[in-house]
Amino acid sequence: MLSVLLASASLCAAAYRGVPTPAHQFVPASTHRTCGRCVACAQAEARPTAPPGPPPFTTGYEAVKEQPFDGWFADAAATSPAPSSPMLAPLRAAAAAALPTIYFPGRKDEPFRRCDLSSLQASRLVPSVAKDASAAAALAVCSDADSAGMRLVLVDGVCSQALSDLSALPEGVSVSSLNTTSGAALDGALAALQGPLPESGANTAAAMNTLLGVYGFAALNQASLADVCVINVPKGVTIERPLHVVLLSSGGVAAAPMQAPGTEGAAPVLPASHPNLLVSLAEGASLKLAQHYFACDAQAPYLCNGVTRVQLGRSATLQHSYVQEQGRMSIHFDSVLVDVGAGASYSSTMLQSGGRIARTNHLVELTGEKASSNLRALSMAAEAQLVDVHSKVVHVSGECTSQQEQRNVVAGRSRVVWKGAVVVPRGSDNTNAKQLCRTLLLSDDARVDVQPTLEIDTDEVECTHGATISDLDDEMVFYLQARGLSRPDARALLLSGWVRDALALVPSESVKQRAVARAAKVGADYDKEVRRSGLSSI
Amino acid sequence: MAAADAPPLLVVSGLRATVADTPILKGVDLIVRRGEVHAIMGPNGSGKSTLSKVLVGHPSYEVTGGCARYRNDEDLLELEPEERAQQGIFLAFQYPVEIPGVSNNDFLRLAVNKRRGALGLDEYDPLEFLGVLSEKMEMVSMSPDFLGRDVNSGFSGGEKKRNEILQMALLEPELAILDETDSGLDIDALKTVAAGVNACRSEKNAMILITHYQRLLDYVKPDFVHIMYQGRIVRSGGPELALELEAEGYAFLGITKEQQPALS
Repeated sequence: MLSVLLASASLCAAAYRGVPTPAHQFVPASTHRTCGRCVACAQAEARPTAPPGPPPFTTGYEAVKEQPFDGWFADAAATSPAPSSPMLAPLRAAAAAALPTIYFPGRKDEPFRRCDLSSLQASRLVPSVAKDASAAAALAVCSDADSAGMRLVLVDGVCSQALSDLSALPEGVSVSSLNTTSGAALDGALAALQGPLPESGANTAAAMNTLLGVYGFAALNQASLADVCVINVPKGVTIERPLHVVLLSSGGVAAAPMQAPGTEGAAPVLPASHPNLLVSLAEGASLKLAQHYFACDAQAPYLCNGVTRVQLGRSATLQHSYVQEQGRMSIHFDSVLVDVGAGASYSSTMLQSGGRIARTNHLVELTGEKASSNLRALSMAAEAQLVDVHSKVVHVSGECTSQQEQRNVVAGRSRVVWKGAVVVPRGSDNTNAKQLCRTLLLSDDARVDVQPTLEIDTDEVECTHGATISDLDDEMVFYLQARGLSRPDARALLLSGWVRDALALVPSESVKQRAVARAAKVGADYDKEVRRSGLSSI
Repeated sequence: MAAADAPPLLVVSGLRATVADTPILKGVDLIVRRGEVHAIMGPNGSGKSTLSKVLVGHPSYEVTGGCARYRNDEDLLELEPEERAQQGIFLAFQYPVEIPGVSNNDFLRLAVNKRRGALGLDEYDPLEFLGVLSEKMEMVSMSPDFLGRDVNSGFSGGEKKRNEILQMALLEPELAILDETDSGLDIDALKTVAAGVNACRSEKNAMILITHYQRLLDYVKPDFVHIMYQGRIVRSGGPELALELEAEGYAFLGITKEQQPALS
């Protein structure tokens, strides 16, 4: 493990030469790890501290940041319950070995500059404990009747046989817990789980600059695995009906007091679960996957820290619907890592609606020639929510096509962050990439940060990107008023239409209805009365 | 034409309005009775579209003087735009707005039910409405597939204008204002739109057609033609006035033919 870390560290130092040294890099030598005893550590300690003068304004967060290796990730993993399968133990151990070297990312780390996780850092993770019947009740609310026969349910990251119904699954297709996976599907799953995590080495002494911020939380997920959900579609198999994977978070804690005597006033406890999803489509296979996060108790605070890996073989097709409707007090963190093979096609619709803090990293690597991706996403935030989506589409091979449209609805005192990178390395000729981000900013107290990024290192490319931020177009509102709708009704109709349009490919009527109803409420509730806006994001 | 002693549907007097502090309407006088069709013509920038927008309550236009009385002496300018619509005033937009994600069917039913609610009638349920709609759609030669499409989204220019006429037919307004509904239409679409307008015409309602061209008036015979210039109605007459304009242009206003790009 150590050698892997060191190798990636030196690689990264070379790759990012010239980038200002982050504060937590102790010595320029990329191979040094902090020991506190050697010359390099003494030099680091001897570096001048803050200049004299009035103490700078602090939020209390800086004090935490001063101790980079705070052990948060290691502590967090230590509380995880035992895995459901002996196969998970070595995977957990390997990931856990790296955790002590990872510090909790803060706002000085580029991927988390606008995503304040200090409340998570101040919490002590404990295992989620599902309450009886609450999962079944939640499932009844969040899923459609037409998912019968094609539904896998995970509760706190563990596949639930009682709630799942896979009776309509075609022959040869494997959708199950790692425990019950066998043959080639199992081998593939283990290989994927053993592979290196993206951005390995980030938030360690190696001080590498990353774009997504996957590593720390993905490593925590692997070190805490309770189960793995494996979906495997063999060569040439097309599944017509959408496969629903419902990931329920119970948010429950064990009845017994979790705090040891004498630790009153210690960090608040936060129930956590770490779902892990592996999706693999062999050559020519085709699947519609509806991945759906939902809360058993909408008011419960909890952390859901997921990792989703998707591997598309040659000419495979995945239509991926990703719906995040976590509870309003929850923290959702997820990394969706997609590898698109030659001639394969990946299209996704991502809805971010729930959560107090929701951070999703979406990495799409077009690794084979003529691979294509089409990402549609809608982030909808109100009240005091923080919704942060970081995406990165890498044109690893030439002749690939990518499209992306991000929509944001930002209301109340909420904040929406979107960073969308398209990377075209040298040699990836005949790349075609289109990216657009459209934001409706509905209230003066809300905030949106959008950052479209193109990194292009080759000439033979056609890339476009754009971003708009506006309120609802008043000409549209007026058109509807002239047909007899009041201004709030008109705004509600416009916003719900915009949301419905973005979710056209989500295979769940109840999801669409909830999202549209929420949009209608947000549209009617927030009206800045800006009557002469010129731009429109619609 | 209704009897001259019937109470007017709309009385506009001395109407003044500005947009972004620039005066556009500088004292418009107009009386419209039920059963009448009025055509308003005039060079570009004379205030025709502004008049239509002010009458339906567009928020970008500020009324600075004069008044507009509707039906039984109601103060039109006091009403919100949606109240005017519910009370039977309809504007066919020059540039109908596209609304993605809202199906035409849902939008039309919502609009019709708002109007019916204001009239004290029961709202149509989806099935009832479909019956009403099919009948009116034939009138403007709309194919049924457009009901499932989003409002004006991806419609051609002609389809958008026909959609406006369909809305007029469904909403059965007392006063319909058509703002350059004929512009950008080919001759077949123009005939379809004109047929729709003629079908909606009755003794119970009135229409104001804003147009640049005599062409539309070949198919929809107006009772009155008004010439607007520099924010006022400067000349009114019968249908013969439009023919006179077609032949001679706006020379009588003191501007040359070269300055009249819109007049074909």
